[in-house]
Amino acid sequence: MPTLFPSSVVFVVLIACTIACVVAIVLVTVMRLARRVRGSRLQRLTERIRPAVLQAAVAEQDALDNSLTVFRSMRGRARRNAESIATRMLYDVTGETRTNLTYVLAACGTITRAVSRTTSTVPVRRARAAEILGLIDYPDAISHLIRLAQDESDEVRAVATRALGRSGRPEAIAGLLAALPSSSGVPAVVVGSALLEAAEHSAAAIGRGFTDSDPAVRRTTAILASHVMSPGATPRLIRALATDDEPLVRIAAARSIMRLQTRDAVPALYEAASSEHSGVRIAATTALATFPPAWTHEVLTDLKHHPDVDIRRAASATPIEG
Amino acid sequence: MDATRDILSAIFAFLAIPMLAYFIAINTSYLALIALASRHFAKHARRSSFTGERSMAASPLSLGISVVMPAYNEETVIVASVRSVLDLRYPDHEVIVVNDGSTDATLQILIDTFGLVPDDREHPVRLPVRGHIRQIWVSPSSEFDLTVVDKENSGRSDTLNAGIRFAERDLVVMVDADSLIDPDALLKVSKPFADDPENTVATGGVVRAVNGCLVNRGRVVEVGMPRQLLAKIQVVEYLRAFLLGRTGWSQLNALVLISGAFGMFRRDILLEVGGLDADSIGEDFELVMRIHRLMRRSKRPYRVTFVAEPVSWTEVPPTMRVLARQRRRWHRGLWEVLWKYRGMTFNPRYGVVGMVALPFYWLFELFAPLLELSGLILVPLGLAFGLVDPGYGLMFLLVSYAYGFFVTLAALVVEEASFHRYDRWRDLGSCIWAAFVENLGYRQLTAVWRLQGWWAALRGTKQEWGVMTRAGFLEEPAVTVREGSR
Repeated sequence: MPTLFPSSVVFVVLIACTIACVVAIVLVTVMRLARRVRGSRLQRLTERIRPAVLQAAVAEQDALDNSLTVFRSMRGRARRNAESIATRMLYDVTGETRTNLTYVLAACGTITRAVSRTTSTVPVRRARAAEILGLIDYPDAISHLIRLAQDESDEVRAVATRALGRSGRPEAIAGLLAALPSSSGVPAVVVGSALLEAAEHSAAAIGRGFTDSDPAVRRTTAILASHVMSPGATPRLIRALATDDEPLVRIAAARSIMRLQTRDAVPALYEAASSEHSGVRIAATTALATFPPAWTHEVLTDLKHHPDVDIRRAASATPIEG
Repeated sequence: MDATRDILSAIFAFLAIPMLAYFIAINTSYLALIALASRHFAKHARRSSFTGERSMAASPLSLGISVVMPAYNEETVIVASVRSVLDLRYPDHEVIVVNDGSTDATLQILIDTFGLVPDDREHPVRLPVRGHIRQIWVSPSSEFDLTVVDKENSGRSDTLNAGIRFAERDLVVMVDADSLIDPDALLKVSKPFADDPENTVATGGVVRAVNGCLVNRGRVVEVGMPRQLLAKIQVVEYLRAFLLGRTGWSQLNALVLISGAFGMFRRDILLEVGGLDADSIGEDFELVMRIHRLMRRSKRPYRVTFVAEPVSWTEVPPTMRVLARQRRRWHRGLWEVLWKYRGMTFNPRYGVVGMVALPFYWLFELFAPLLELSGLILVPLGLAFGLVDPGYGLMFLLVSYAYGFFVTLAALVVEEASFHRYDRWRDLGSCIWAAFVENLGYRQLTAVWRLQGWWAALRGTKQEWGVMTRAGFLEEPAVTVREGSR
């Protein structure tokens, strides 16, 4: 009988496997134990700190300073817990409550740390800093966010862009518009959503995007135009639908016109329903089918005999009940 | 007797060392995938505070999604399933249920519950569909966007194609009616499309076992390990192979398999590849392979991404009979797809998919049961005939089973460090126990079933879809559903 492995080798492998398995079991158990301990400690801490954060969030101006004293003296886990509670709440509040929570974070030293982390060498830290600065009611945050919106990291730029939109401040608009071109590396859905969040100030500026040379900018502009009620949006959308070279822009324009329900757009939509691009045809016909029948009866009757089955189907759609 | 001994001796002279090397390689490659997955999870955890999901959930710029749900005799769960999908958190999604010629009251229940009305317009013809479409039903209400396509029975793939035909949004997600979907599933699985709309063509969501979980109104509210040992082992198996394995492949940009229970695709790409192959047993695998082939051949940059956060829950087979049928079908599908796309294997034109993923699937997935069973037969024979020493037998057990056990434990460590969904102490004990017991019979049995599936494919036996009795995760009596998806 040939011996393929000396018994010492088999023994070493046996010991190695046993040790590896035991270590893995011990590791997973210790990790579970540590997480449990951390969890229960965090729960006790939260039970203590959460009422203080809530009290500060709804405090009147004269009582706020007293409420903040407790946060100024916090250190370590307690401070991180207060930060975490206040930050989570900031996503859902506005107005005075937002301002008060900003004071809570200032008392915890969060804002100072976030500002200093905007220049950190670690992208994740810069991104976290941008997220915090976008949540708080703090005018100086904008300049940091505008800088981070030009960051070398795609991830940081995206978070900063989103944060600029959330800040809702007029100074943020230039930074957001700068992120619109596809070359910015920020996803269009992020920039567009940010511009929508800052709609109060972005509506007027958005219209300029219709004439941009970048199709991505024109497309996002066409989508946004109907949502932010950009001044002069309707004629620009009609022009984009009729003349833009890029089918995706024309589709976006047709969908925006559908939302605006403008009678002036019926001829352009009818013409687009015969476009070479099937997506444009379907979007235009779908839009026409949602308009009041008095505006579109004739054109839809015609389109119901279109050679493309998708067009015939879209033209035959009945408006849904409101 | 001497002839047998001589043959065995020749086999051992040739295979003894390669057999051990094979098991070392398979376990090490799994360990490498787990390491890649853990790196990704760590990166993901550091970014959890700024994912932007809230913003996406409210944004009209988020890409629209068509949820396509095939349904065959699902009368007991269909309303809960459709409601849970309609209620998913997403700004723009439509639901298309395709009734695949159910013989129960699935269709009537849908019509009555959602007040559907017939839609007599012409059908779009974007994809060929074999089963005759009998009627389209739509919701007249603007509160939810629901379409029901009623067609003759023609199988899951053809049914999904019928749904894709009616899909109007930019993204299409295919879900099983018997799966439970997490409320943020669409947000999570569509995120790669929002982050990289130019390149992302498909994403897969992780499917976890719902057995043992507490479910309320179609949502998993408490995660727990099942009581049955068979289901426990599958939970651990899903963790290791599906969650961590696929995350690892996704990190290598070589994900070739997206679960049929939750896969999201760009609609234009789905139409370009012609939808699912109605003749394929492993239709989900086949579809992803076809997408890889299309994108590589046309030299377009692309990504197929796996989203590891829990999004979908499905019941794993609770009985041996159903599990056996499922594994035979999976392995048969694996063989058929690998054979169909054999030209891509070791073909540098297909990049890491052709040079790494497909060879891995051939060697460590398709041939694994053959080699495992060969070892289990040959090593005891070799010992009986005195052809190998007990030291070799022990070495074989160590590199195949002890190392395999360690790999599963490593997967449990990563799960504990990342998602830690099985939170109770007894669940942890169950996981470790299942990881151990998996090696004592389960692995060997599944290897036999997988070989049977392969053999059936080679013989060209017709594949039958079975049914399994669900132990009941909904607050209803036991109901009957199709076998779970991988």
